[in-house]
Amino acid sequence: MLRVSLKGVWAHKVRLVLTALAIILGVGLISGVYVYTDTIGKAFDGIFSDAFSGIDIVVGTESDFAFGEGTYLEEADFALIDEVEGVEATLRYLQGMGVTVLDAEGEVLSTGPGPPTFVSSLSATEGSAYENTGGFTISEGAYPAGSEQVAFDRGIADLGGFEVGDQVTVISDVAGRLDLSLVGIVMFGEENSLGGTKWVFFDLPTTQSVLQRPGMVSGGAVQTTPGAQIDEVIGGIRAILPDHATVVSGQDAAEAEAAEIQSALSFFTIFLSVFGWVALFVGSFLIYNTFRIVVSQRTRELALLRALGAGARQIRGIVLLEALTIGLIGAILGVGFGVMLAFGLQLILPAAGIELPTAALSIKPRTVIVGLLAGTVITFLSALIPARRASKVSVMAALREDAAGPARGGFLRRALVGAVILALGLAALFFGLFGDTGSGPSPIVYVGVGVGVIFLAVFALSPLVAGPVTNLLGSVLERFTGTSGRLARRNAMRSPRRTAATAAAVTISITLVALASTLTGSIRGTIDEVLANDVVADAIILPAGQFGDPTAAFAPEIADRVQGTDLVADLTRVWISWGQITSGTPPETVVTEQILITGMESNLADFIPPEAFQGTLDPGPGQVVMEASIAESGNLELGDVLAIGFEQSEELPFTVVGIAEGPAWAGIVAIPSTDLISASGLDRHSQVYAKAVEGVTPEELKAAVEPLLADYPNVAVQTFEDLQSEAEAQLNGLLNFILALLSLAVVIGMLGVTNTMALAVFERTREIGLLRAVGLDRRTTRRMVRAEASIVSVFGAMMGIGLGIFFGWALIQALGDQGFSVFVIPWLPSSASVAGVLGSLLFWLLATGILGVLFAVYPAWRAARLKVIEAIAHL
Amino acid sequence: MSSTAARAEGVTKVYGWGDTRVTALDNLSVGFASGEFTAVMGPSGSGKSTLMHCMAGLDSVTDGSVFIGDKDLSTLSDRQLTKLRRERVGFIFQAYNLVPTLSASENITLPLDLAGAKIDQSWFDSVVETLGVADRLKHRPSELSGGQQQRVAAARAMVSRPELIFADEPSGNLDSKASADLLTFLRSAVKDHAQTIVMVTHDANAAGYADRIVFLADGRVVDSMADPNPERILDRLKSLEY
Repeated sequence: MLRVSLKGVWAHKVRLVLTALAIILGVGLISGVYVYTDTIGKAFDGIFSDAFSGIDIVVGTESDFAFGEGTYLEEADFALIDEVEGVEATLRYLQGMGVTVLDAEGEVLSTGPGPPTFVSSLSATEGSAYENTGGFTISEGAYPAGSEQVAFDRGIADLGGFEVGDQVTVISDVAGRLDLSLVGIVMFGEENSLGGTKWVFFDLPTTQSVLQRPGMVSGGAVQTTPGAQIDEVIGGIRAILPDHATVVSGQDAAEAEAAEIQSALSFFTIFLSVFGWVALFVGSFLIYNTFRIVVSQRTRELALLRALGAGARQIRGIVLLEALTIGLIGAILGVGFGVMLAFGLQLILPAAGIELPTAALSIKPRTVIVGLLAGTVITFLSALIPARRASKVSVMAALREDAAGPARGGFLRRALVGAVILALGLAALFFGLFGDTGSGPSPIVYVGVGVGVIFLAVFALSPLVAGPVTNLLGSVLERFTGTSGRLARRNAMRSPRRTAATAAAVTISITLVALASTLTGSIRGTIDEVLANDVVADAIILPAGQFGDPTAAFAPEIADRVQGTDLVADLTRVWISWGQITSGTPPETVVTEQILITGMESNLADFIPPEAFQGTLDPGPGQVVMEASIAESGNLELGDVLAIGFEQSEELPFTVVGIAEGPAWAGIVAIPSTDLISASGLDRHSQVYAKAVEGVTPEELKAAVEPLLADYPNVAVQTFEDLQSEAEAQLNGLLNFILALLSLAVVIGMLGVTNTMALAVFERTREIGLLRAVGLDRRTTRRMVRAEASIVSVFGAMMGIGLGIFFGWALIQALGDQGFSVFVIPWLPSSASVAGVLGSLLFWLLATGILGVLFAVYPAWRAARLKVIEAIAHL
Repeated sequence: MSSTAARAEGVTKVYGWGDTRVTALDNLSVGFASGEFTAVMGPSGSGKSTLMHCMAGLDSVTDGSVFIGDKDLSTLSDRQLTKLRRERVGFIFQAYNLVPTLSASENITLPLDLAGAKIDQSWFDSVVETLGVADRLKHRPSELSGGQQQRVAAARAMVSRPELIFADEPSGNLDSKASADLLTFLRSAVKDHAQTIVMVTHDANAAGYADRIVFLADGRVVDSMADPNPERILDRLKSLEY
């Protein structure tokens, strides 16, 4: 039996290759992601174990807030550690964010959106216990000393072309412009940069003044005296430090840091491998369809085997064994492909400006096991139904002429079953999106199940519409291509179930493409609407070059300069810091673990008027205003008292005095600026809104303000048009990234078309011979096959776009109160750029038509190459 | 005698290599007169089907030349051969003559549609009327009987007014009634419209409808017979086979 299976596989090499290719691509993506992230993880492990090697005890704080800013310790407290028994020496440091490095031309040094810039103190360790501990080490030059010296990591130095001895400029959010002399280049063990982040180093006093944290440190390293019990020393240190301090051994610290990176990476791994699973899901349709067609083509062969005494189970075994063989081959090659993919990423990403630490590729047993299992199990499952069909072939089929004819299922039954499944799917989806799931599974489970069931329903129903729709598409094509179009149309219509199953693979990937396009289109529409209707300002001043950090800010001097011009009629400043909101008397409930707290001036509402509000939008000291959905999530009403915790203060009480609605207020919790400054300890602005005097256009205002800020390249003066195009660029970047990951699924879907067409050409050999005999030339033969592929692909794309729009709509309805105010179907390109075109649904409709032609080139070539005589003789 | 519609001159056709080498046609020369119904007969393996395929431009010859009218087929490219087939030659095969996805009417006009030629409606009407398929035009091949399918194929062969129709065992799969209907039509097409027909068959009754019979054996023309009748044909066949 094994031999029959293997021969079956070998006899149809093209089919083998195409089916295996679907597995190879899907498994390749999954295992490639595993290998790549494992490798990065291993590299980070190495970095941290180097960084903490030789450090006995690490003192730090519980960092509750993003971007490692953490909270701080008083330097005076830290100094007490030296007195603890068993402590030989200590080294303290301060780290934070809030500087921008300028290049030689005075512009922000940047490679585009990427990890942020950090500041750290770096103290001389030469001759001390911590020399060459492998963390931050001066690889060239000297340690920075005094307020006019700075050191950069090697990554910054390479990017800016800086050398030791150069004069460089760094802008501090709070301390303004600093002209410094570059005295040292820092490396992290063997790495030029720490995961692509930029690091700027000063001595401790300078760092404290740059970050406006006088007398504070983030933590430090402790060396114990020889023979001291580390645990006892840790206990001794902990006893003298405040509660929020953490004291752990160097080894534990290395493990904790590595674990933190691993959990960040595992999100990355899951996110990326989802696209691999989608690709495999699409591939399973290809495999299912291939085996279905092959089984019906081999009806006679299988019936002969039955006649010779093979049992139904043996027949099923033959088909399943064939599937397992192909699955295993595909999975093995897929894991290999994944390793190559990871290797390729290591080469390509640094060239694209994304610096991640590298190490020898890490191929874990888990990667190989998951890859092999995924490939074989999915192929096996996909072949189950076709195998069952094969086992039901009767002996008589060997003798009948029309044995391979299509089986006709009941129209009504299919419609009924499909409709019931659809109703169930919709119910699950809408319950997940809008219903109160209470204590049951989380809404996302209902949504996921709903989406899956709706997919199934659409595939159950699609054979019913496949005929009419392909007929319509074919008629359009026929108008342009004549006879080849007519033949293609009729061919596409001849087996609606096959057409639908082939189109299904295209549908899944295009659904996701359309969903991504619809969501980004709607975000774009929302931004446009907010800018057009909900924000009243002519220019907005924002930090430049600090991507991904919402608390990025600039010195107060900038707003003063802008206000100084006589073109500005009115102006408002916005301060932003991280905070945590709790409500109620103990036991307290956490309203939001981590939220941006806005410090506002009393005229903020003039610039972002709400659609509606209760109370006042001008809070006094100790008062807070917030957006309605935040108040709702915390069950807060006017007059309630809540507590806000900041990085640098005890929790402070605030009374809710205003609740605002409207897209411009989305996510805003605002307190008076004076309260925020005293709580956060930072007087720096994250946004400044300006209105021009009568008769001055936004462009004129911008032109007048920009020269005033020429020495601050870390701030940008932006009109609405600028903001729109910047938002557009960011959305396009996101969309391109998702589309790049989905492209694999699209390719597999299209390979399904190739496979079906190749099998159809084989099946119709005799018919093609006849057409050739009566005068169909080679070119028209090719055109006929390609046209059919195109019709099937576009049919799949139409269903996908429909589903994508529907899912997008449902999602936006559900997320409506979280910043989506409009639903946009992006039929047309949003701009003339590549990304703009890629976001357009009509483009994808057209593109799948063209892809259909391209992916049918091989079957079309085979069809045209058939020898007429042999084809006619073919049975 | 009228002019020659098609002829083969010293045609040799060899299949395979070495041990599997088969000479299907061996320096064969034959001509088919215009306006004549010629039957090609011979035992299995005599090369009669190969001859027809080569004459029709479906297969290439190893040596010698094949002419349709004055056109030497060996000088033509695949595209030119395809054009020649759809404009100057008609075909009727033994079975599977029709494209299953097209209606009877679409099958009939297929060569004209492929050539982008205009359909002569009155000629089309008279052909389908004569063949008795006028009321079946909207049907798919699967909805037609075997006899109807072959008559639709004959109509397709006729409708483009080809210089020559090649028929390969056209009645081979039909019962005697349907067979007689089809052959009578072919006969009358020759008589009424001076159509040239070359028919390959091993059925003496079918061959009896022809004006002339060419006998093949071992890839060569071994005899010919004018105004045949089934008894004489059978006698001659016996002498060829034993």
